[in-house]
Amino acid sequence: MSAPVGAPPIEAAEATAESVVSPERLDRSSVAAFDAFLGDPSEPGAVISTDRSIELDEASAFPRAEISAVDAWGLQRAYVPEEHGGCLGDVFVPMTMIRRLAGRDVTAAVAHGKTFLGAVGAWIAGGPIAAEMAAIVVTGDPVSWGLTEQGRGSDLSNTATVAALGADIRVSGVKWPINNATRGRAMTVLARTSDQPGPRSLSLVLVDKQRVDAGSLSYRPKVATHGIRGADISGLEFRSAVVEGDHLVGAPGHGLEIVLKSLQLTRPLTTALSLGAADHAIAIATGFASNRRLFGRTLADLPTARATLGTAIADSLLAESVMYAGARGAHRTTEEMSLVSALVKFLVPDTVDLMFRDLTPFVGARSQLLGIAGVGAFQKAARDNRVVGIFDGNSVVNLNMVINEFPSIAREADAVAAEAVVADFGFGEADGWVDTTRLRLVTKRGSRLLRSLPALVDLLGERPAAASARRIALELDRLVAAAGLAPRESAPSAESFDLAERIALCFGAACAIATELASPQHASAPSEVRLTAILDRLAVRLGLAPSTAAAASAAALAELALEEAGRSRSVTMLDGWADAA
Amino acid sequence: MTILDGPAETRSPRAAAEPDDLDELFGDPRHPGPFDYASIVADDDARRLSSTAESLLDEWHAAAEFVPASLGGRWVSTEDLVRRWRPIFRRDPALGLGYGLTTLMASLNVWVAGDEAQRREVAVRLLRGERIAVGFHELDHGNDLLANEFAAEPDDDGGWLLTGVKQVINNVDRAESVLVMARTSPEPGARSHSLLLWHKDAATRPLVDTSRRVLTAGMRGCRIGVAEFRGLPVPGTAVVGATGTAAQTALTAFQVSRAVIPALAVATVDATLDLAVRYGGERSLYGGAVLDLPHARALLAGAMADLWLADALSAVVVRALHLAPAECMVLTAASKYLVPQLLQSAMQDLSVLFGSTFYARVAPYGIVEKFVRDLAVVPIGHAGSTACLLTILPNLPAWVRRSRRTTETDPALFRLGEPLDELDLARLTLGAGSSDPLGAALVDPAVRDGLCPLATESVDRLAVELDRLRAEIAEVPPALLGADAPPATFALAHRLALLLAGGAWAGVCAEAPSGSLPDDEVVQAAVLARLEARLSGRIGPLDVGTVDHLVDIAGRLVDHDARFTISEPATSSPAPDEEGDTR
Amino acid sequence: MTTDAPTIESWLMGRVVAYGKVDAGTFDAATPLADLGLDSVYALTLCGDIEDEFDLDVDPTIVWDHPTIGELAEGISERLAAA
Ligand SMILES: Cc1cc2nc3c(=O)[nH]c(=O)nc-3n(CC(O)[C@H](O)[C@H](O)COP(=O)(O)OP(=O)(O)OC[C@H]3O[C@@H](n4cnc5c(N)ncnc54)[C@H](O)[C@@H]3O)c2cc1C
Ligand SMILES: Cc1cc2nc3c(=O)[nH]c(=O)nc-3n(C[C@H](O)[C@H](O)[C@H](O)COP(=O)(O)OP(=O)(O)OC[C@H]3O[C@@H](n4cnc5c(N)ncnc54)[C@H](O)[C@@H]3O)c2cc1C
Repeated sequence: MSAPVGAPPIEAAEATAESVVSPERLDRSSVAAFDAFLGDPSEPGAVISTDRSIELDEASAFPRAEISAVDAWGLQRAYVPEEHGGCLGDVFVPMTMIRRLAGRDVTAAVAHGKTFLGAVGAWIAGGPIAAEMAAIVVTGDPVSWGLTEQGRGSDLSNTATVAALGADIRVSGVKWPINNATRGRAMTVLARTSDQPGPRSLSLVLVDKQRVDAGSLSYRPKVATHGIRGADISGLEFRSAVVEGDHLVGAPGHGLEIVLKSLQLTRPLTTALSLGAADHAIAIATGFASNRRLFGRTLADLPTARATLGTAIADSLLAESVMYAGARGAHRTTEEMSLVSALVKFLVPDTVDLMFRDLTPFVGARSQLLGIAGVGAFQKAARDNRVVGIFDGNSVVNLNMVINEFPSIAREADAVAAEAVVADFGFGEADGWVDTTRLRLVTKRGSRLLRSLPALVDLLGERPAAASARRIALELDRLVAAAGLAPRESAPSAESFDLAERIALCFGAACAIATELASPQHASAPSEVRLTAILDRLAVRLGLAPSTAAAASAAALAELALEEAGRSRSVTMLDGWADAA
Repeated sequence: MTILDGPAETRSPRAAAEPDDLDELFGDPRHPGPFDYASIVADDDARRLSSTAESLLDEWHAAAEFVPASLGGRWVSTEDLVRRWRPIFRRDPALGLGYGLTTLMASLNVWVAGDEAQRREVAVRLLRGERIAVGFHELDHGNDLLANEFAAEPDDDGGWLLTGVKQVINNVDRAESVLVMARTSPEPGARSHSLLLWHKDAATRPLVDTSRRVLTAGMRGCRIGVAEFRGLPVPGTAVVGATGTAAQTALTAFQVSRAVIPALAVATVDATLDLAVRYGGERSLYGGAVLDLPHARALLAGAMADLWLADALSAVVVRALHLAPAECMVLTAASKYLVPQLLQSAMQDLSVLFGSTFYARVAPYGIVEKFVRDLAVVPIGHAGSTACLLTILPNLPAWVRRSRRTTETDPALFRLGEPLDELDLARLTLGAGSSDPLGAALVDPAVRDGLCPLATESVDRLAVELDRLRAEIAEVPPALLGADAPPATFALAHRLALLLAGGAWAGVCAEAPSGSLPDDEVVQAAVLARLEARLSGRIGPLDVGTVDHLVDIAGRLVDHDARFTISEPATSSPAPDEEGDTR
Repeated sequence: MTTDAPTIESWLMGRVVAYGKVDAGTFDAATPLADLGLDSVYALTLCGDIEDEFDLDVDPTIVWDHPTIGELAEGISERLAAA
């Protein structure tokens, strides 16, 4: 089967690709331009309209017109480092843009953003293959990321696809399920290049379909999925496909190492999808709370409803801080990303999944319906969102990475200067692309940010937010001690997973505090409301306080959000980031 | 659907006759057949219910389950009704809802408040295979039913004219009758609405438009729609119960459906557990199988514990309809609140276990994705979680008084499967009743003596917690028990639901036949440990010994094609290992 | 501190025995670490131990590139010499 991604049955207002004007350079100031380009999703004529997204999803149809419009705008330039002719410097710029895209339609964001994942290995490998990759990416042609094989899941060392290295490379095997496997122009394929056991037997090969005999490729049909129903999740079979000998990405035998390093950058990036879904859900829930009348008042006026809404917003703000920390970490503590990326990729989807579970009964019947009363976006975002915790390393695998780092986390280390950590989070910091040679497979002393939690708490002084923060910092002490004692196991115990989960929650507290302290609004009244709600909520999730203990701060946050909504704004930890550079 | 023609009398089965087992009629859904998982997934994708299954249910006279035996149907014990209907929920919850549950909800109102003629008429129609839709809700007012605007105006002939819109209503287009809740007085309050039953064959259709379908994310196959009434005349005899009694009737009738629906939903998680064990044993990873991984094993064990608690609470509450009807307002609300939550939690854990095999819908596990979506509807439809807590709140002070004076339990409540007499709907009340039959199980020595030592310690702690909860509730001013109650008050109702579940579990364990799952000490303690974790706020993993024991049980159940549920008599008992005790 | 390969080799042997997966005397410096039951998790532990012992910054890839104790000792020795 050759083209499983059928034409969408619904005619779109085909984007006027030629007339698109986009900034020449993509930096943080371009986020607003991208946002404006995408338009108001409630308008039928917008590049991405919610109604059409729901229709496409219902028909399991690929958002073709939407993606070509985004291509025409040139978002893909933000995936290519400056040295290779693109605009990629600060990784938070493409993350924020993908968040905006996902805030309208996660399917479109998954379809477009996947190229970043497919390409990043080449930036790490460097050399001519990076130039080759850059040339493909900047045109807007999709590159897919071919790691997984049917029946083998997370166990990459078990890869069965073979690449025979000689004057040319002959690839044989099947990659499935792979995002954009069918519509993609190229795929970065993890393949076995040696019969020797061990991690040095795998290499990465860039298969550019335009340079391979089409007869040596065949496709596995589109897979039906829970969410992102329109996405091209399919498979690609290589039957002794001949690829030029210089199309290895990195040295032979370095495939797994490059994959593991790539994941350290892609995992934080994919959390932008969760944030987009969360933005969408929070907007829906906030609107519902202010407009719905029940028992003679608005839902927002019912104390428990208000607390429920505020809790969900606190979760989304936590996720935002953690995503930001992931980006800052990539630039400032690159050598710690093996741990930081796992913490981030566990905590963000886990938090946003939880937020959706809490908001579903809150939104009630409307969380299920489509085709009436203008609803339908919630049920789509809820299903779409869950993909983030499953692909590119599922939540369990990420927790396992954290467990593997327990000895590093527990190792003695010098005290951290909290001011330096806050400086790393500075909104005004403009970084060039990550020095990927600093990426390592394991950290020496865990995460500086995590270790700085007590010092960050001290910086809060007597602010109201400090109360929960102190309890969380004390808890971290206990957890780190327990991590040091945990047995080393290749299949860790459920207790170790629980420990890793709690450490991740403490890490979340550090992310939120550092982000707040770095914010230009730091210590303002709204900022206090935000931070207190996040930390109170974390204390509840850690089991340090009953849920009722976080209700007051959650209600205050809901109030802030409702006020902001009145001014058509949403609550964020990142106010001022866009203009801080 | 096919409406069975011919006189109902000749087709309706004899009242007490035990019908065939649906499991046998439907066949094993994992193997190719007309109603297998593959076809269920395909039908779900196409947003339709299985026509094969609907015909089978027609032939099986499924609706006879909802007709009291005294009116010619098969409904005697509600527990039997649940047991007989569960095979549907093991395969397709949407079929359960779309084929019959709304008909059950509608007819309950008639059994509760209808006059003799109405009851006979509805019985005959149901036995003929007809459906009734429940047109209660309006999207603008949701659970605030008393704010509903749909109106019935008296006409000149002693009849009524129905005007307004009902959204979103299951089967409203294909049902032969619709029971609507309509405003019959402009006054605010609980006496201004009435129930009216419209038989479509008796009235001119152009005055009602039911053609608009509304789509849903879960229960995709259900035919949910909107009904727009434009002055439809119905006769005076259409009013069910006295005018102005809609709220009272519905609150009584829905106690039964609030008890039955969670008990049925348990079966869907049961089916998912079975699939999870097969998947976990089959899927290889890191040189072993998924179920060799301690984390995966803990997920499975936790889901089993949640299922057992859900099963025990929902089963005991179903029995309470017969045995403690006066207390059922609170009990059924607790069940409809907590059981879907427990089931969701189990499904969440299992979906993590399935990972991409849940998200990418691939055979033979494609059904799991549908189960996750379908179950997500259960806490929302037919009295959402918040609505259930709002039912409990005003009853809290009375519950404290009842609870303090109840020290003995009725063992019959916990003897799952023991025969029950026909339900007497007139004994259901709208208050807290006169006792606390489930809380008492935490303090009754008769229950305590029936438990294994490990479980006793847990139950003693729960008894202390029960005491603390009573004291805290006693402090709450009545003004804080309404819709504007603060989160702290809602949290009290949440804890109460958990403690009632603990009581149900303790009672079931104490009365468990020897050799059954709830008779197993580790099982008893595992469920209580998980419950205590829920009360404490953070749910950690069960300890390794417990997990191993539970996973062993799971393996045996699947090997023997047995069910995970505890409320149904085991067809083939999960015989303990030949070597004997595996603890 | 010693930087010669044989000393490092016997230190490594000691570590491997300490992990408790194999008994002393049942393996030699040429046995692949993977055959000693040292999977990727132990590779991480070993890296940490090497760092602490030799104050040397190593990534688990050192074990990938030097899959026996003998080779690993050589690898460490070379890096120490270069440091
Ligand atoms: C699949 C499906 C099938 C259905 N079939 C039928 C049918 O056949 N017949 C029928 O009549 N109806 C049917 N319904 C409608 C139905 O039962 C709705 O759920 C009902 O209209 C309630 O509306 P709502 O969920 O918007 O809840 P609302 O009452 O609008 O409440 C919304 C949310 O607000 C919050 N809330 C409410 N009160 C408070 C409070 N005091 N404090 C704090 N929070 C509060 C809760 O979280 C609640 O869930 C169906 C619904 C679905 C999804
Ligand atoms: C929509 C979608 C898009 C995808 N796109 C791509 C793509 O573009 N490119 C690509 O290469 N792959 C892709 N994948 C595949 C995906 O990345 C892998 O399937 C996934 O990372 C592996 O997880 P799994 O759920 O298959 O679980 P498996 O690895 O098979 O594990 C099964 C279960 O075992 C348990 N488990 C696994 N590991 C551990 C552990 N270490 N400790 C404890 N328990 C564990 C978990 O419960 C897990 O769910 C996609 C998948 C989906 C669903």
